Amino acid sequence: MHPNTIDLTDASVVYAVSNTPLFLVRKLQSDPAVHALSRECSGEEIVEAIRAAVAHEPADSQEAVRPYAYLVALWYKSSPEYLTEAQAVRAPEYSWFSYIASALLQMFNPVQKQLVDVPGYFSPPSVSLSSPANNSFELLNGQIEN
Amino acid sequence: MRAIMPILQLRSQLNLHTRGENQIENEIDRRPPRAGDQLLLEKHRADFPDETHRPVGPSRQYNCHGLTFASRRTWIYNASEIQKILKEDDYKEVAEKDVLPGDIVLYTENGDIEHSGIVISLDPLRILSKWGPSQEVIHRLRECPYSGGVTYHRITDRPTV
Repeated sequence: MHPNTIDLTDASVVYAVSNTPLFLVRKLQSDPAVHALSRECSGEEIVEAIRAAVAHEPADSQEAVRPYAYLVALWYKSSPEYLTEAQAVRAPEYSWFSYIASALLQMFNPVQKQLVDVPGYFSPPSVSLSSPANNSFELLNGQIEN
Repeated sequence: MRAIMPILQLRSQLNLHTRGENQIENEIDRRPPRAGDQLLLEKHRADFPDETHRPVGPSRQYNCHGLTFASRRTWIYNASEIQKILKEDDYKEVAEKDVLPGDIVLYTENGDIEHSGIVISLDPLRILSKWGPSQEVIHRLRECPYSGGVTYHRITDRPTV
């Protein structure tokens, strides 16, 4: 999955009624597309996608919300390293970019994501993130993602 | 002498003060609507068919808080600025049973004042507000995209010094 392929239909609907950046952040945090992006793309890929996205003025409503969705996807990473890197990106065409990046860093909890090993009672398809010999899955803010 | 139309920046900030004469952080975004904005506006119309969707918007020049607190002139995006307005403009909270047209309603989630509007009628209680960069809507209290806790506030006379 490339970050550009994320379906931001729901996010653009939310953005169209957002009065405040934090309202948008809360809605993006519960958007399954953002969860999938965080799970399937690396931090480097997402930061690179942010740089590309903010290099020009958004042409449509999905482009307008894209950098914010990427920031929230980085917030779900286990380390704040990529979010910190993204915060330094200049995005003059995106009024809420710096505010949201700073807010997410303040909200960042270093134990929000952890890898949990459990005995092998899960069927093989449910442990596809790790090697077949290692029944691991990720705990994302209290929700089990496999 | 002919009036000269000023050349305005695409994005700028108004000199907007509280009664205490402190600046309220704001931004006017004069860029034109983007592709898809009108479609999203139509979607809100379809999702809330029983509310009155005023033919205003899409526009990023003002948001709900700009409508409620700044005469539709600008966008106020930081919830702490709304708290500042409530305090310095002498707003007092009123109970739901005492609400009158002209009072304001705030929707708050996790300390973020995510939406505001002006009460324009009772029985049923109806609110005039603007939904982000989309349209202005006259809506019932919960017939809107905002689910935060609701409080009502009324501006009062400044105490005599």
